[in-house]
Amino acid sequence: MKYSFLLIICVCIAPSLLFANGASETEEPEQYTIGFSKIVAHPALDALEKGVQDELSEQGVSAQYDSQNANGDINAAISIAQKFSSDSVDLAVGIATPTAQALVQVLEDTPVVYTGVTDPVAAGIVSSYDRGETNVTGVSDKTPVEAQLQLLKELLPNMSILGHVYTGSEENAVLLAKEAEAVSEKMGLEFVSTTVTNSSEVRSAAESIISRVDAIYVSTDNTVVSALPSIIEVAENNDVPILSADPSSAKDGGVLVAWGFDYYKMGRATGRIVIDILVNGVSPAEIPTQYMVKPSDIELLINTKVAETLGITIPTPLLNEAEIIEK
Amino acid sequence: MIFSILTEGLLYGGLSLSVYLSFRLLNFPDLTIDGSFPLGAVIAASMFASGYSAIAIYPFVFFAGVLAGMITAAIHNKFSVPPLLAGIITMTMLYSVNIRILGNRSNFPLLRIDTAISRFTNFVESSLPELFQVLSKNGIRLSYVLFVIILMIAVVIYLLYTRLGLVLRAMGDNEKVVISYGYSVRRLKLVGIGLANGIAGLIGALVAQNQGFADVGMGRGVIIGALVSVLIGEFIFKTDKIYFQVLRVFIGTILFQSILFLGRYYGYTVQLIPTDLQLLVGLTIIFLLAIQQLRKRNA
Repeated sequence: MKYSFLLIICVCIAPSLLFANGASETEEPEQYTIGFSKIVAHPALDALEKGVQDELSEQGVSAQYDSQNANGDINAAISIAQKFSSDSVDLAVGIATPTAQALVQVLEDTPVVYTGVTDPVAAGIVSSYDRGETNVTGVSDKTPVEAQLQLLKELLPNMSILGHVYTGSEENAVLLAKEAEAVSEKMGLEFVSTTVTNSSEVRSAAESIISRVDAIYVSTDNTVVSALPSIIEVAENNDVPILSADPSSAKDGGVLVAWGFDYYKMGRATGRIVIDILVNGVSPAEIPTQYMVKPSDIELLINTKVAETLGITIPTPLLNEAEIIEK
Repeated sequence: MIFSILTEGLLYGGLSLSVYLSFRLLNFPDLTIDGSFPLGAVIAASMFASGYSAIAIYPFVFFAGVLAGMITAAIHNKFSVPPLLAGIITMTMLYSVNIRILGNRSNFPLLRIDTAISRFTNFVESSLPELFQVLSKNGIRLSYVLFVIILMIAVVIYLLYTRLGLVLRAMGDNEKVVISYGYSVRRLKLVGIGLANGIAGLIGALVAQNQGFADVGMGRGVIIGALVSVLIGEFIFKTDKIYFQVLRVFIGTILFQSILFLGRYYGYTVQLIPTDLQLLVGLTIIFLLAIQQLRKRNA
C-alpha cells in the first residue's frame, strides 16, 4: 500500500524532472523537430502525414517527427498541443479541424500548418483565406468546384445546361451544390439540380433531370457517390457525360472524367509549405490558404471509351496528364 | 507542462466526480455525460460568441446539464428502463440537440472569441504583469480553473453533508431503507443524476474554453477516462469519509492524466506508438481491478 503510493508519486514527479533535462540538451543546428497532431488513424489522414514526410525527405530537409494521435478523443488534442509547446517543436502540423484548432489555441509563436481542414475560416483557424496568421497557415481540402467545371466546359464547349444530384441533408453536399450553382452562373451555364434523401432515390432523381441537361456533375457527396452506378446507367441510356469529383469510384468505368485530389498529394503540398516556413524563412502570414487545384496536386481520370461512345475528342495535353480508363 | 497536466487533471476531475456521483454514490451507471458534457460546451460556446458573461453562462450550462440528467432519470423512472439504456437514449438525443444549438454545425471555434478564461488571462497580463511573468499563461489558466473547481467541490461536499445528501448516499447503498423512511426514490434519482450531469455541463463549458473550441464529438471516450480515474483514486486511498472520497477523485484524475502524459512523452522509448494509448488505458483498468480483487480476498 505504502509502496504503491510512493511509486505513483514518483511517476507523477518524474516527467517534470526529465523534462528539465530534455530542455537543456543541445540539438544539431539543421535538424528540425516537427510535431504532427492527428485526430484519428484514417487512410486519408495517414496518407496526408506520409505525404508531408516524403516531401521533406525528398527535399533533403532533415527533421525529427513527433507523430501524435488523439485516437478519436477530441479532448486529447489539447494535451498533444501542450506537449508540442513544452517540447518547443520548430513547427507543428495539425491534421483535421479539432487538432488544428487545439494547436492554434496553445502555440502562440511556433508556426502551425493545418491540413485536411475544409473551411479554415469557419473553423476560426485563420481569419481570412487570402493570408495566414502570424504563425498559422495551411491547406484546405475543399473540392475545387470551379476548376472542375471549367475542365468540363473545355471538354464540352457546347454544354449549356449542367445537371446535379445531391443529398439535401449532407452539409458538405449542400455547400458544394451552392458553390456549383454560383460557378455555373458565372460561366453562363444553366444549373438544374435535384435533391435526394438516401441512395435509393438517386436513380429516379437522375431520371427526372436527365432529359434536360447536357452533362451531370457529381460532387464528393457520400450518398450520391455510393449510388454512382445508378447515375451512370441513366446517363448512358441518354448519352449524357458525367464529371465526378471522386476519382476512386470512377475507376470502375462509366464516368467521362473524374477530377479530385488525393490526400497523399495534399500531404506533399503541405510539406512544401513546411519547407517554405522552416528552410526558406517565409512568414506564415504571407502564405494564403492553399487549395488543391494545381494539375500536379490532382488526380485526373479520363475514360476514353466513354469519350468515344459520346463522340467527344479529348485534347492531347490533357490525355498526357490523365490516367486513362478504358471500360 | 506540469501546469497543463494539473489543469486537465482538475477539469477532467470534474467529470470523474460526475461519474463517481452516479456510478458509485448513487449506484446508477449513467452514460448521459457523453451528451451533457458537450451540451455544456456547445451552450457556452454559442453564449460566449453572443457576448454573454461567465456569470450568466455557468449557471445556465449547469442547469442544462441538470435537465439532461433529469430526462435520463425520468426515462428510467417512468418506463422502468435500466439506467444504462436510459442514459444512452438521452445521449443519443443530445447529439442532435447539440448540433442544433451550434446552428447546424458540429464544431464551433472559440479561438478568436473572448471567453472567461481569455478575459481573465488578459486582465492579469495587463494589470499584474509581474504575476503574469511568474505564472505564464498556463499558470493563469490553471489558477482560474482551480478557483472554479474549488468552488464546485466546496458546494458538492456541502450538499453531500446536508440531509438531502445523506439520503442520496443512503439510497445508493440500500433503496429499501430510504423508502421505509418515507422518501421517494424516484425523486431522489432525479435530483442525484441531475446534479451529476449539471457538473458535467459546467465542466464542458470550462473545457471548451481551455481547448479553444466546442465539438459535438467531445463526449466520446470521456466516461472510460473518468472511470479509470475514479478507480485509481480508490486504489491509492481507502477512506469512508465522503469529503475525502470527493477529493481523491481529483487526485486519481491527475494521476491518470500523468500516466497518459508519460505514455505520450516517453512511449517511443519502449516502442509504443500513439495508437497504443487506448491499450494502455485498458491495461491500467485491468491491473487496478486485479489488485482490488486481491485485496478483497486478503481482507
